[in-house]
Amino acid sequence: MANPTLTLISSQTLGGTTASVTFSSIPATYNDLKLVVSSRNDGAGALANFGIIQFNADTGTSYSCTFVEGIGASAYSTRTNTTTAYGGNHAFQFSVNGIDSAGNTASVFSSNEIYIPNYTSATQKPFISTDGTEQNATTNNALGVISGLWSGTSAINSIKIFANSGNFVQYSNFYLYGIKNS
Amino acid sequence: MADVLIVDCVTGEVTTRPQTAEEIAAQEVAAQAAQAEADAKAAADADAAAQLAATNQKLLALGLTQIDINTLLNAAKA
Repeated sequence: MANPTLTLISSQTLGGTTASVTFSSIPATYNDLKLVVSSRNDGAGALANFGIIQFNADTGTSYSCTFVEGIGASAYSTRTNTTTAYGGNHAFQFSVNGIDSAGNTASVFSSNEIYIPNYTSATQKPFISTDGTEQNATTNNALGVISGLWSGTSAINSIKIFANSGNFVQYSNFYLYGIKNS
Repeated sequence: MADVLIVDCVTGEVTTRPQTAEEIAAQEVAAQAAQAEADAKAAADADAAAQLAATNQKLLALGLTQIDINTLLNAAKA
């Protein structure tokens, strides 16, 4: 009988302001990966900057995604057929609405869950990300879902997490889990 | 200047190092692009708000009340 397991591969809690976090040498011994992020950015304004992930240090045009967003009373969706370059580096946006920053309520951190199934396959790899910001709803309560596709054909062995601008602040948390089907 | 943190998932070793000049330059380019995008969105939002206010004034001038206008707007959103 199958006995699926969820195993913590690594976790990091930032001790200070940090530009990026990279999980490297990810074992290929699981079926799926799950990345959980609780983060806040030091950018000015509210939801000033987006969270970004990049696989295997691939800076090419290998990423595409679709967004659905709800912020306050408004909702919209959009599709990015060609990838976005962040400082010349192509990557995925994993937070639709931006992450909590200086303009949001103090000490509030955004929440993201990114699920990456079949990350060792030799074909294109999809992922889905859900995010919530300003969960106390005093300034910018927002929810988002992203469905993405990385067209790389090698197993994902590293994930870099950064922001399109600014840095992650102290106490931001990053958890990488591996999931086995049996 | 912020550091970058790299975790080796096999050994558990954590490396913290300052950003390289190339990484700083890329971050600055991305920050400028993000600011330009935010500025463009703010300008578009301001234009839309101004257009909405102008249209609202025209409807008021035609004799509609603000309640009438709000009812139309809510019906359009539904």
